[in-house]
Amino acid sequence: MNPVRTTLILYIRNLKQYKRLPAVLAFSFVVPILQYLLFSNLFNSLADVPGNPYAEYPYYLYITPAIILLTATFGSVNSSAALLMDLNTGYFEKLRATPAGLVPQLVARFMSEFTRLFLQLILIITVSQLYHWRMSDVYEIPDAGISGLILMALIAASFGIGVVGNLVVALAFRTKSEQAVQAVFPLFFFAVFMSTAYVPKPLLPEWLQNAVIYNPCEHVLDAIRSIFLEGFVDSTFESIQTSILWIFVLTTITAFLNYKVIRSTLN
Amino acid sequence: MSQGKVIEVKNLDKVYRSGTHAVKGISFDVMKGEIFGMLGPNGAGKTTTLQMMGTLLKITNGDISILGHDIHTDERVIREKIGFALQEAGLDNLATTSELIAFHINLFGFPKSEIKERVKESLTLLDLHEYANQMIPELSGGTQRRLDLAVSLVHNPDLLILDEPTTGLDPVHRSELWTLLRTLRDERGLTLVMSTHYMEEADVLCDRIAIIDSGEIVAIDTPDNLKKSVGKDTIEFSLSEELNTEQQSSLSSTFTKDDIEYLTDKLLIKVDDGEASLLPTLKKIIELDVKVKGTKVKIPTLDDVYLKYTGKRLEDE
Repeated sequence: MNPVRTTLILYIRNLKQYKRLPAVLAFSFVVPILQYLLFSNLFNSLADVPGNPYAEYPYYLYITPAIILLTATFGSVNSSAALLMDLNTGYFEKLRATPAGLVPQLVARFMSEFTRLFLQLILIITVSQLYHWRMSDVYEIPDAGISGLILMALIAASFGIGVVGNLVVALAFRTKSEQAVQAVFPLFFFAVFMSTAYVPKPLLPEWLQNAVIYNPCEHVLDAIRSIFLEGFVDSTFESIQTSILWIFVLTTITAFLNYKVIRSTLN
Repeated sequence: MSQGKVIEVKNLDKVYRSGTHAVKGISFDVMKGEIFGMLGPNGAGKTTTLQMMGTLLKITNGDISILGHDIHTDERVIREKIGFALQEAGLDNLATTSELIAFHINLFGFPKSEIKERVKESLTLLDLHEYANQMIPELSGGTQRRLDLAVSLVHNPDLLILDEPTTGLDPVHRSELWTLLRTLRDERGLTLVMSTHYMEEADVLCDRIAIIDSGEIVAIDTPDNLKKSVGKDTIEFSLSEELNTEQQSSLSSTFTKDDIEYLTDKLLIKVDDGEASLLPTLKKIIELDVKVKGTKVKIPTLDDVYLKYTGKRLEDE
């Protein structure tokens, strides 16, 4: 048996599972959308605050990248649902005693969660675009084009699955408890809020302006926002590079931690 | 692979990270077509041993050869050739019965064109047709066990490992499962290795048993030989009158002296085969004018075997 073929079979099986997990799909989609609609109306006047460098954009465009990042983190936390079910029913162990083994199971799980999250992000981006068209009556897509929108989803999904997903999977293995895994979400929710997700940098308190540079969410957000609002200009490429570097480093660290946790749990 | 040996376990040791020494240098072989049982209480090391054989746990020390493959180097090949039904029926709660079987057939690399037919065969083998389209959480415990077996058998493995396969099943389902396992052995030549803490199960189902206690194998043989190792069968005669000296003297000359024991209103006679010896023995003591009001044949059980080798009763564990 070829491990690549085995991984693909498991990947397809995981994707098929989602049709029986509608709550997971709906919940991680509906919450960001509600927040998007709520915040864009509540804080609409923020665009008029003096010193706002994004005053030229309506507020709902400013927070679109934040909603994308929030969907990525929220969706990644929920990604543990199917894995936890397999762990708690003993099916994960059952599959370990078949050609599925350990590594193909984990790789397939990450692949399927990435696919689901990517499609969910594309859906969120589409909804925000439709909202923009409805509010502005200008039927244009951002300067970065379709490829830019896809790249935004890819960056956000990479952060979500690479960083949040690894932590969530490690917690799932360690605790086998959905509640414990869900407890990770406030941490990332907090990290998103402690960035320029909802308020531009010059309007943040001074201490936060200095601290924000150490927040990984900020760098991912910066890349997505640059692509979304400014298109593919030089500064955007720099932001993309920085975000990829952060994602790579953090994914490496969390994947290593995850590996150690899984190994210690299984032996 | 040594002639006819499906499993060779040598000096197997398992020490968990916590420091628990779960398996202590055990060795045994399992022959082709054999139903081999590991009998012992919870925590004896049965599951740990089976999980090492099923590639689910790393070995601390020792060697395992499964179907001629070294577990240290050929984990993947071994996983393709064995079926493993874990203690809890591990099933996908988000699939139907036939979806799960089809998935496992696909996982073992069978061509797509064969999947439908093989699903039908599996459903027939385990009598699961009526549950084919039912979601797995809706199935009863017994049906889930059968489905677990079905998915463990989709690839026609040469060896089936079963970890306490009947735990949680009612007596009817338990008996049905025993019949099924015997059929699989007889018709497919399957080798079965199972753990159990039910003495009756080990006695009725297994060709050979390893009695395991605190991570060590304390005895290994056929159920009959193990029971014989405890001692002879005993026929207990309840008496309506105490034996007089003359009767006792006659009994001593009729039977071996060491095989007779006198109690107040009972006479105990040890024989090789209690069931077969009951009537001839009864005839002999009636001829001596002993007044018998009842008889009972006591045959050593595996619990007696367990007591002999561990100093504890399995029933109390």
